[in-house]
Amino acid sequence: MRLEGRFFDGKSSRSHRASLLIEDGHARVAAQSGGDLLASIALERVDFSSRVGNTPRFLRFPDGASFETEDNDAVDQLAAQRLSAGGLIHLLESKLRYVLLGLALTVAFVWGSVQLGVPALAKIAAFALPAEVNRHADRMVLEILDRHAFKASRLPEEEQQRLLIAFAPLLKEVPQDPPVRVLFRDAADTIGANALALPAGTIVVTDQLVHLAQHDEEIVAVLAHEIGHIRYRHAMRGSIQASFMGLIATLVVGDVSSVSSAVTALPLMLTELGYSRDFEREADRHAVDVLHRLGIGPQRFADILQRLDRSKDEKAGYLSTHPSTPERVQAILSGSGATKP
Amino acid sequence: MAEATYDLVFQGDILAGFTREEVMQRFREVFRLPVEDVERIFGHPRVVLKRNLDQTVAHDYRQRLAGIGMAVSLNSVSAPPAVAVPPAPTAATQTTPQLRIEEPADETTDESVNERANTLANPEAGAQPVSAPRATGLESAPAAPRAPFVATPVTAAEPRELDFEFTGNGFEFFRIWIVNLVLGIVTLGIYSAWAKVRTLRYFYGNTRCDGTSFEYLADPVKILKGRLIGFALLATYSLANKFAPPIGALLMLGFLGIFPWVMVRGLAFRNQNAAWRGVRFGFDGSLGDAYKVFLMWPFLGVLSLGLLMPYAMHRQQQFVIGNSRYGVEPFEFHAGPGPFYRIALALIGTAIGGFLLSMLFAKVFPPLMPLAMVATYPVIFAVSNVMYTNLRYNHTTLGTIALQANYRFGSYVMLMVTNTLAIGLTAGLFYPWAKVRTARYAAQHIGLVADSDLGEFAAAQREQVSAVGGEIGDLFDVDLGI
Repeated sequence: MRLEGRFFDGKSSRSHRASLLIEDGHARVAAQSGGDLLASIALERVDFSSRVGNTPRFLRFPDGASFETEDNDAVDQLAAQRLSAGGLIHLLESKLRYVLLGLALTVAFVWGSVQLGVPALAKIAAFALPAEVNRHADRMVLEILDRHAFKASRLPEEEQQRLLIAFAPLLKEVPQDPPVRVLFRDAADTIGANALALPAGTIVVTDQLVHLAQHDEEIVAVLAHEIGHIRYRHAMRGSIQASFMGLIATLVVGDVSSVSSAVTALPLMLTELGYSRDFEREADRHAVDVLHRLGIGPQRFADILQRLDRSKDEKAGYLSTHPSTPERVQAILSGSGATKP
Repeated sequence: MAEATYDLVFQGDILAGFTREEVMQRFREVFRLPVEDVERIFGHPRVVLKRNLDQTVAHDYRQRLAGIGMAVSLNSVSAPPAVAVPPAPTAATQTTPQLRIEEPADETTDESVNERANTLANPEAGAQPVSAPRATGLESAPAAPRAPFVATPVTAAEPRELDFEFTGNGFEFFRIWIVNLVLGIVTLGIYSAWAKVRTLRYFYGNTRCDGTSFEYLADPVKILKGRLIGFALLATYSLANKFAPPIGALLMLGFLGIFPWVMVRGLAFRNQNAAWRGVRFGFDGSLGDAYKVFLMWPFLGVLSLGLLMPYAMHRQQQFVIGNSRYGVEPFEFHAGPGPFYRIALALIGTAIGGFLLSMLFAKVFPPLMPLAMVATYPVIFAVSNVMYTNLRYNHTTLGTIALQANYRFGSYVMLMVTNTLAIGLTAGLFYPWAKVRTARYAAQHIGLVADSDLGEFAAAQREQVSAVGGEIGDLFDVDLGI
């Protein structure tokens, strides 16, 4: 058997056109110009590089010399006696049916993780986290928001007390551990009319939301929605899901290079926004359910949502953290129809 | 006709598209002249670089000098009839055999110029035993010329332009990529180390220079160890950052503290596992220097409000390239800080241009405004990649070999835009083709000019390699794109 290629002595970058001759279990390298470059050596002592596509193969000799050849098939024949993982992988790569199967598996894996795996794992993880972690995150977020987004509430003290009393039946209906505490803050220059649920049961209601509401029950409805976020640990699940998705993206794309960084960031963002909308829907369902138990009509919730919608200029669709208001209102009102006897 | 000879005359003219500094730098590198000599040659209105060349040799020189941006003219001495060579416009002093610099004032005041000029024109006369370039394989090696250019008998070591060649194909890599993905998923990411080795072996193996391919020799187990440790550190950091920011910040400082070490180990790992013709590359940067270039200078750059940042980049490139070697032959990086400042200015200019354009659109045709803003980012990215790549390669030499790159803005932007669009439209499936196209572009636009035989590089001692690249070094599998 004879392989054509180039011989390198491992000591310099000089390249010799040469042939590798295999005779009864021994290999020797002969220069094209005549004369041996490498004396006969037992084949077992020669190391073959495994096949990667059609790239040249290297036969490496114990003294550091090597022989480069394009003759992949001949090297495959020589290496056939040896069991190598590399050869097996090349087999997978070279058969189109395995590649298609692999493609299907990959797509199924990514789809399954996004739809089921990641949310389920994040849910388990979020509920398994010690309460202290939530309390800590709660304190931290409030601190940051107080510093950058909020001012002390301008609502009169008696108004705040009156509202807290109005909220009492709700808080009694859905007791949380740790208990929910409601804070009022002024956010005229930042987020405007809004309410936020922090991980350990703190709900911030902005003065602007109180002004926007035309009935206390509307604020109660918003609180019921926020308690849904707390109860299902949406804040924690969201950040855990983001971490998982980053992990999966790294796994799939491998080393993120400059070409792909923008390309991976966008799907990640879209997926996370999708998760966020799912959370909103879950919190809405919770609100409708609780309001029903308190004997408050879902119309109150729909009213304040629609008024909030008009007060804001929100973009809908795949780039939004919340489902569109008409969709939410429809779900809220139809949900109430279903629960009514 | 055989008697027809030519003089090579340089009148300080630079070809369009080159800057004077670049050309001087290049001239100095290629012909290994001291800075003073180069400055004198470029400072005089008319210099005869070589005399008594025959036609083909003279043309070779002229082409070669044009390649580095010098416009030289050939003066026919004994007037051969049919040579399409533009004669030097000024009346050359063709009869004066030893006069090269036609400026009487200098003739008298500046001895050394004259002497150097002698050396240039007349190697036999001026030959001095000065440090000869390592292993150039020149016939005249015993004469030990200071400037190989002058002494090269041309027949011995004709400068060759060698292009890199990339022979991979997108579909072939697609199959490798998919199998890598599936095995990575099935093994919960453990296979990713093997996947990386296969990917790099594919790209190295398909990149050829002078007919032989590159080898990637890393051991996947080492990469796996590095990835596991890196992953553990990353997980610790992100958890700490989320739940106990002070500890997270402390960890961040810790990472910053070992960052230079990571870079040095990463560069050493990458270089030592790359080989060509059985000779490995290597990296010898010291940790102390790494702390200077990766921490101290960037820190000073921040302190100086960015004014020193391009200088820091310059020091980093110098460190990364200057400490790399092929076998025992070190790479050399010759660029000064100037080009780095030019790149910084170009980037700032592009950013401002993009901003002004968006403002203009906002006034004239608002729907196009976001488009202009979004388009600015890839343009900045492309400008930076093109300019840095060209800068890095065009100022790097390995012994007597000069690397060169000619990335072009237009073609590079087209490559980037089409790759990104295609990846987006195919939900990522185009990724392997994009990688192959990028590698092909790089190979097509990077080459080298070899003065000497490529077979003269000696391998480093194996002990030396393994001593530097010990086990711990491979903990971090840092990607350092060059």
